[in-house]
Amino acid sequence: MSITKAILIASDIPVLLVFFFMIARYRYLENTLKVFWWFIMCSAIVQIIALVLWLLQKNNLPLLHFYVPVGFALLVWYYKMVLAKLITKRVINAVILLFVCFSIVNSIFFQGIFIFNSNALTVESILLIILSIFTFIVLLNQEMHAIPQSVKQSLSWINSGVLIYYASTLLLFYFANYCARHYSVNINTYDWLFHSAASITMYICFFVGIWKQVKEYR
Amino acid sequence: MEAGKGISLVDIIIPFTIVLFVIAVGVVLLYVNFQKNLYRQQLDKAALKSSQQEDLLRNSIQVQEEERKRVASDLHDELGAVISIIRMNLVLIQQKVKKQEDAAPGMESAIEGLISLSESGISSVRNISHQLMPPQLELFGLIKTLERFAETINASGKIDICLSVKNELPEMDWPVTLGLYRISMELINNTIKHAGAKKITMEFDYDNHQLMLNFKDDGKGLDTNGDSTAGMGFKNMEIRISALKGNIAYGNNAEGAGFTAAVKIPFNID
Repeated sequence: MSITKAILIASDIPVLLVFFFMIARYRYLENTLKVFWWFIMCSAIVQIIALVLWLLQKNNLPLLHFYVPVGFALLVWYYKMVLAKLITKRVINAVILLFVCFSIVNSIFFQGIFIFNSNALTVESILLIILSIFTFIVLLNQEMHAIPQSVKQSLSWINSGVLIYYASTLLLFYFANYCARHYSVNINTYDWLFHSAASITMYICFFVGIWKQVKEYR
Repeated sequence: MEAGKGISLVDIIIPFTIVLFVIAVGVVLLYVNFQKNLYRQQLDKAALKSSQQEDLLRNSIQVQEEERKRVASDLHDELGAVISIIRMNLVLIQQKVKKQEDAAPGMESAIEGLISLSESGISSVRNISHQLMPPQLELFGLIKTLERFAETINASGKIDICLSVKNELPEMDWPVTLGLYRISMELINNTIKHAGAKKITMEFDYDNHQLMLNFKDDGKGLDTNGDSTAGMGFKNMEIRISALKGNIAYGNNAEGAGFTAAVKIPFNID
C-alpha cells in the first residue's frame, strides 16, 4: 500500500473517532450536540461505505450525491438549534429546502450520480462559510446571552472546524471535475491529500469541542 | 495529460487553497484572541464595578458614622448643656421659693417635678449620645468599651455576657474598631431582643492576618421553618462586614438551641 493511499485511508479515522466517542458519551451530550451526533453518524456511515467501495475499486460517487444534501441539512439543523433565538427558523428551513432541491436537480439534470457533484459542494461550502462567519460574529457579541455558556465552547470548536474545512476545500470542490478531466491521477491525488488534511483538521476540532462539553457536563 | 503551458490551473488552485486554509485558520485564531480579550475586559469591568461599589459602601458608612459623631457631640454639648442650665436655674428658683413664706402652694413640688424631668432629660441625652458614639471607644478601645457595656448588661441580671480575647488584638484603625464595635452591638442587641437567651459568649481573636469574632448565645436560634429573611439590623451588619472586606458565617448551634456567628475581617499590621 502506498503512503498516499495510507494517508487517504487514515483520513477516515478522525470521523470514526468522533462517532464512537459520541456514542460512548451520548448521555453526557448536551441537547444540541445530540442533533450534531446525527450529522456525525451520517458522515461516519457514508465514509465507511465510501472507503469499502473505494477499496473494492467501485465508484463511490453516488454516496456523495446522497451525503451532500443530507449532511448539509443535518449540519444546518444543528446551527438552527444553537442559534434558535437569533435566527429566523423559516429562513433556515427555506435554505435547507432550497439546497436539497438544488442538489437533487443538479444530480438528476447536470451532474449525474456517477459524476463528482462539484456544483452542490461549492454551493454548500459557500452557505456554510457564511453561516460559520455569522456564528463567530454572534459568539463575539458579549451582550448576547441567547446562547448558553455550556453550548458556546463546543459551538466555537465545531464552527472553527466547519470554517477551516469548507473555506479550504471551496476551490478544490469547484475545480474537481476540471482537474479530473485535464490533469494526471498524481496531481488529483495531491488535491485530495490536501482535502484529507482539511478534513482531519475539521474532525479534530469537532472532537475537541465535544470532549470539552462532555468534560464540563460530567 | 498536463494541461496548458506556463502556469497551469493546478498551479493556481493549490496555492489558493493553501491561502484559503491559512485565512480560515487565521480567522479562527483571531476569533479566539478576540474572545479572550473580551472575556478579560468583562472581568476587568466586573472587578472595577465591584471595587466602585465597595468604595461607595465604605464612603456611605463613613459619612453615616461622621454624622452620628456630629449628632452625638451636638446632643451632648449643646442640648445637654442647655438642659443642665435649665436644671441649675430650677434649683436656684427652688431655693428662693423655699425662703419665701408667701409662695403659692404647690409651687415647690412643681419645681421639684421640673428638676426631676430635666435630670431625666440630661440622662437621656447622655445615653443617646453615648449610643450614637461611645466616647470610651476612642479613648479606651474596643475591648474595654465592650467590657464596660457587658458589665452594665450583666448588672441587670437578665443576661450574662462573657467576653474573652484569645490572642491580643493589634492596634486597629478607627473604621475597623468602629465597624467591629457596631457588629458586636448588633449581635448583642439581636440576642437581647429576639433570642430570649440567658448567656452570650463572645471571643475575639487575631490570627493569620485576620480579626475574628466568634459569637454564641443559648437562645432559641434562627427560625428555620418560618421567614428566614434577615432584618434591617442584620443587613446593616452584613454591609459593614462587606465594607471591611470581611465575611460572616452564621446559623444555629450544632449542639442544640442557640445562635452562632463567626465574623472574619482581614487586617494587616503595618
